[in-house]
Amino acid sequence: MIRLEGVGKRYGRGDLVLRDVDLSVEPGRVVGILGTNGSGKSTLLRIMAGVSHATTGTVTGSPRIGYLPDRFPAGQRMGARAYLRHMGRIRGLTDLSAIDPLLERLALVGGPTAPLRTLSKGNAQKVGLAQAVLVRPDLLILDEPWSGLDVATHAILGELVDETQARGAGVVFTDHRPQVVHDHAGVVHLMADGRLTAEDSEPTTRIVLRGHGTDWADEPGVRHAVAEGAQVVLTVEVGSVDAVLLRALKDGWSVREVTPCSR
Amino acid sequence: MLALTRYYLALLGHSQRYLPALLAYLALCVILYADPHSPPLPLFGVSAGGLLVVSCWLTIALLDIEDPVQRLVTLSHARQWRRLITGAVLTVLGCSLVLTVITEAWSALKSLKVQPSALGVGLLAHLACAMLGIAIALPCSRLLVHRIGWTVLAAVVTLIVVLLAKIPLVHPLLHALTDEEPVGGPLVLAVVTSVVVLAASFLVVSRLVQRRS
Repeated sequence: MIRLEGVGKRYGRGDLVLRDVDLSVEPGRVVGILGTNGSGKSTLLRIMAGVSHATTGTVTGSPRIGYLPDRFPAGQRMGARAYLRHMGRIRGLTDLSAIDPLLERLALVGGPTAPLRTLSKGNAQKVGLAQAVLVRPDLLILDEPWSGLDVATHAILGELVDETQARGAGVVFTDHRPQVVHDHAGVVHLMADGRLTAEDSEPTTRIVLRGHGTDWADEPGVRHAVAEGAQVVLTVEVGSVDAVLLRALKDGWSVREVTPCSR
Repeated sequence: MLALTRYYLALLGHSQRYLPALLAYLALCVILYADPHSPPLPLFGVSAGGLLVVSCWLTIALLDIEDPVQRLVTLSHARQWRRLITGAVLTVLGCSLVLTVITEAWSALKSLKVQPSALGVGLLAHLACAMLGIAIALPCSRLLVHRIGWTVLAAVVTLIVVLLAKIPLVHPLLHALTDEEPVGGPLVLAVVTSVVVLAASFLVVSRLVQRRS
């Protein structure tokens, strides 16, 4: 569907923000890209969406793209429905009857005639999501789509991703939270300092701990350790779960949750 | 392309950023075409110069409405920067054409001396100025210049130079019109150079925007 080979990106005369990225997305696959802020995730998605060009390397394949950036800065007086109709027409759609049901499903506060500039961040992001899925893309590209959306919309977003996958289209999304990526992606890649690496396909377990004092990032079998308030969320290879739990209890941590990462 | 033009027209309409330029242009026309005994060609020279500024304003205003990130969304649907910029250019050309027709109709209704040949000269003069205004605005717009202060400064300086300095673009035509000199040669020069400069501006800006993205 789309294949990136040796892709690098530099803005102006600055340093490379992407280096030698190889990635292919097949039809019907959901690819998650996990990385911290500033690791190059958004730049990679922009290149895949065709709105930014690669400084080095090649991008092959030109599927129909639906693209949602990490923020949707809708500042116009135009209504949400009118905006979506325009985007649909620009893409060449003739049947625009799906717009109102989609906005209704996303529970857009203010309704379809609400001017974009009056929408909250979350509601603007819903319009952004709607324009991406409206065109029934072959490749749906979502940059941190779960950020800024309320919990109820998280479920609808998950449904939209599933429906897109079910009709044979590919989905690529980014997030900085391992749990979110593992919950929704069939294939996970890690992005760090502009480099993309495929995550080991071995199943993982999510362990939530409360306490302090241990550097979990260096613990054998721990893929990711993310601090969330007073808690630490670990993504641990299944074979190392017992050892990690034992270490946690010995170090005085409280185990709050142990769940398998889905897919 | 029609869909992009419709979108940009809607954006411009909702933003109301066209109003200052439109009102100023209409005020200019009210003053210019008030006397029915005035010869039309000198008046066309002034209003065409006004349209040069208006088309420049409209282009900059139109390309400033969308946030750069939101423009990427539009680009993801349009697929190519060239299509996107063509849509904006056609939108402003369409607006300029409407203003030109209004100006000509106004002149024809008010003036006692207007002739079809004068209307033809006026039409081409206005369209040449509109194209040059768009050509000046594209590189000064938010596509390449990210701070509105620098945009305004660059556009104003360029407009002053183009209108007042003896540069062989539209200046010889506007000078010939206002001084009631023969306009044949300057008219051809203005139309040809405006088309060439607009095409060059379009190609260079499209290329630079693509390289920067």
